[in-house]
Amino acid sequence: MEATGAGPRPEQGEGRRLELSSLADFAAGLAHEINNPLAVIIEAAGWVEDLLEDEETKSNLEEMRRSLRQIATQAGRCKEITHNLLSFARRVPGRVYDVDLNELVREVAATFEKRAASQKVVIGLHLGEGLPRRRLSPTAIQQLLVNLLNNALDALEPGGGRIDITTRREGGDVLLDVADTGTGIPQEVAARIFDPFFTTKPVGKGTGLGLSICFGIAEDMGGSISVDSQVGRGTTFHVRIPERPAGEGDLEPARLHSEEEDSDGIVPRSPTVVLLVDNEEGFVETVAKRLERRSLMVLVARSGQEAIARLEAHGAVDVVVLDVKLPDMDGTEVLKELKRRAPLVEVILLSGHSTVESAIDGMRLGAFDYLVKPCELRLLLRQIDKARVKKARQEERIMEARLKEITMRRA
Amino acid sequence: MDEFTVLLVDDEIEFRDLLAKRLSKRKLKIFTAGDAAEALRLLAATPVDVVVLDVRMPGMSGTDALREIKKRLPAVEVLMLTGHAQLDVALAGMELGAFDYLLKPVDLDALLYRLQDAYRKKRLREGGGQPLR
Repeated sequence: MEATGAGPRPEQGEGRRLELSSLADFAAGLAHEINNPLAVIIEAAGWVEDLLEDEETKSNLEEMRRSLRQIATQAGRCKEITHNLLSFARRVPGRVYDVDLNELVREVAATFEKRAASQKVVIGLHLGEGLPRRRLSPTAIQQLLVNLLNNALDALEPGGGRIDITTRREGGDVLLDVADTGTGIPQEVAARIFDPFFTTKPVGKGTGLGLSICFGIAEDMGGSISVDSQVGRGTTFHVRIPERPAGEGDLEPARLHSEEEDSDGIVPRSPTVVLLVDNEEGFVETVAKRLERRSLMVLVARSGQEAIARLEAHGAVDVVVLDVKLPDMDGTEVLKELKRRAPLVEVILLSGHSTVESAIDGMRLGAFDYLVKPCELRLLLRQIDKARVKKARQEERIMEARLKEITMRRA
Repeated sequence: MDEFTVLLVDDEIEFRDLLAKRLSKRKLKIFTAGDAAEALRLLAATPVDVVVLDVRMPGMSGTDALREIKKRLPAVEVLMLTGHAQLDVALAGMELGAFDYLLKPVDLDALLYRLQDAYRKKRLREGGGQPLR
């Protein structure tokens, strides 16, 4: 059994596009998805009101607390829907880079290792050698991989099993397969899996947007996604990345920060000092170690307050790598504080898929760039380097201006 | 109004349980079920006056469940809960003998009034029994 997403066969591709653009169906799905959590919110709030009418409010406190927690949880569900909807609509900013698909696969797979192990799932990588690099949006490819891996892990519950990720060349195209040994997809379901809001996951577990987002990503790059599945045996998703992905030239949006600077020219006088602000234990350690191996000096802070204190204490931080989600402060607030204290410091934001919005806010507040986690280390390094160069140039400019001022005064 | 018995059938556990609490507080006797099969099992064992049935659930579809309930227990009244986009399902349900349909998210008072109406209708149809107050 096979169902094709976007494809070389035009009649199928067109049919699909028509289905996706069926606004009425889309709106109905959206209304239903949002109405369910809303119904719970309304009843939970009503229940608190009911309880408040009682004489003895004290014994009702625990009930009220539970209802309030429910309200927060269900509102969170609504938020997740709207976030997914946003990435469905915009498919997350698609800056394109020369992407090494294998490295991207390795990075994303690594972030899933813990969850896989706890579910008794083995992830096998079979990465073809000598794959040509492609001009792609790493963010989009990451999102595609994350969605496919999430689904594969869900399909392997509760017994565990295998996920195999394969990359290979076929002619000029690059193929990516994600195969699981899970429950499989019945034929009548397979026909609809790329439709927005279609989900077979239990209430509150899936928004039904993951695969339609994958579909959109594949279509955006001029490729395709299709599925092969056998009930009880497993499912394989095939992604085809064409020789020349669509939008190579035009996908690059107006950059929010101005010049694309080349790191050639300015040689650093002293090692670049990077302040890494993140409270995700494993991540901080790994990144710090890997940056140090490349002769960067790394300071670590695990909260917004600590970051501000560190910056003030050290005084010579060049680049801050700042996760927008911190335990104590909002990422944009931290950014503002850092920039206020050290206007020349360049800040690279790290965000999760669900916090891309605050990263974009950060760009407006003067961040140098933002990267979506999990991000390729090479990309992070390159952006740190560029940020450091930009800061050095700025400092030089200021020095020159000062010199000019002094010489003018003398004259 | 007498105390009467209502079965809530919905797979949204949180919603169903909150609704159950709120209706219990309004002196109704409430049972709950998570899907059509569970509802049918419960109906076979317990006398129920009105069923509130979410038409969108996993397993048996809402209309099939309704048909099954009406076949086995014609006297039970069924109120359907539907999404805005499911008016066709709602209409099909009415043809199958549902008492009424309400749109989700539903106003509690509106639901309560319709439940009382449904119960009243059931009592009238049954005739006899206890006199209406």
